[in-house]
Amino acid sequence: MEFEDIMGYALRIGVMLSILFLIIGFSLIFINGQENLFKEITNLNSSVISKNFKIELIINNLINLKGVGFIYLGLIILIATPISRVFLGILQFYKERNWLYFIITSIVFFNILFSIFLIPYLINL
Amino acid sequence: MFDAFTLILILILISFISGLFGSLTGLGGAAFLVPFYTLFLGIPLRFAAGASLISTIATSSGAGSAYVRDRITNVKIAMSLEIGTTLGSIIGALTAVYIYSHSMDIIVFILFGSFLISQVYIQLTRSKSELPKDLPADKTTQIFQLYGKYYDKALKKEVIYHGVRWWLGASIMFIAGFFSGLLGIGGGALKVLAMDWAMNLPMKVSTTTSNFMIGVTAATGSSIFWIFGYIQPILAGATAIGVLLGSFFGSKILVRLTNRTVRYIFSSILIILGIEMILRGLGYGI
Repeated sequence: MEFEDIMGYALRIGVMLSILFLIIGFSLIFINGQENLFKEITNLNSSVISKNFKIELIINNLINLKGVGFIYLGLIILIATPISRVFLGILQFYKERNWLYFIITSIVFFNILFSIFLIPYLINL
Repeated sequence: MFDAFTLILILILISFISGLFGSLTGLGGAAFLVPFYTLFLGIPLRFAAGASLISTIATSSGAGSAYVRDRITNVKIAMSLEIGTTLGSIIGALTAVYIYSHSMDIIVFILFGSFLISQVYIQLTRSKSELPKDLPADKTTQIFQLYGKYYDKALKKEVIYHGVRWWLGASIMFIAGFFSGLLGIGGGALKVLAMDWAMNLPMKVSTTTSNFMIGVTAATGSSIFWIFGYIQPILAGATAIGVLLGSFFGSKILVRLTNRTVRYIFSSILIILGIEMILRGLGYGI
């Protein structure tokens, strides 16, 4: 299988997994009777928005089968999908010994990691 | 106002329509989604932009998987230009953070409205030619290995092409990334402009490569939106599902809108939404 095929499948699987978890999440919200969560969609200081919903809480939600955690998992997979695609690109150019593109793709990957990890670190300084 | 079940149906329906319109016009779901959410449902702009940005990842990846395997997307050109879009997106998203944290949402409303109105011009003057004119390769063509070929099903032949003016393309990509992060849009129109007009690439390569790049750009901006709390999970989750379904159906109905009347209808919708966004920004509530 060529890299292009792997990339194509990676994108497709990522989207399908993400949608699956989103649907599970919404179903759990209705099953558990947490419908009042829907009133929160205009609340700027809601406890469920991404700033206030830390990773530990997401994991805790997943273990306890709470809907919001599954929705977050779906969204995380969705964001991770194109990122994994860039990572595959680094491997591809390494395998092809194309050093210019190995560096270019690594810079793109760094930019993404910068916004995920370094910016939260910098704002906490 | 609504019970929970009705509300989720409304959210999915609105995002479905946005995805459908976005796919039919080639503008992407965000152009319709953000105005619908903010003007008609009263959803805060930052949540609408966050949900919209995440949904562009879904459509980009969903459609992208097919294009990559058809070998039309040029992965090298995409990666080299993503340096520009990701940097632009970081600066754009941080600008949005500055604007929202100083309660200056009006700026984003006005910019979004102007963006919608500017798209009308692109709607009405869309380039007709499939293949670019023949320009000689320049230095950047060699340095960045901007060569490629693909099999064109409509033209029934293999098209061999090369890109030129990488610096111009990458600069426009930086601007595209900036607006993507600032407004929560995919920025496809600007990305196509960078490749089609600036780099002289064939239209099919420009549109599929642009679509592919949108996911990476949006993932960067979304991560910053995430940190600052602009992702409302219920809204973003429902939107991702709706926009993905809508754009999928849109791509099945017809590849591109050619009918003049339909283009005029969409252009009118864009103008109305654009004016309403600007009016909202100026404080005239609707």
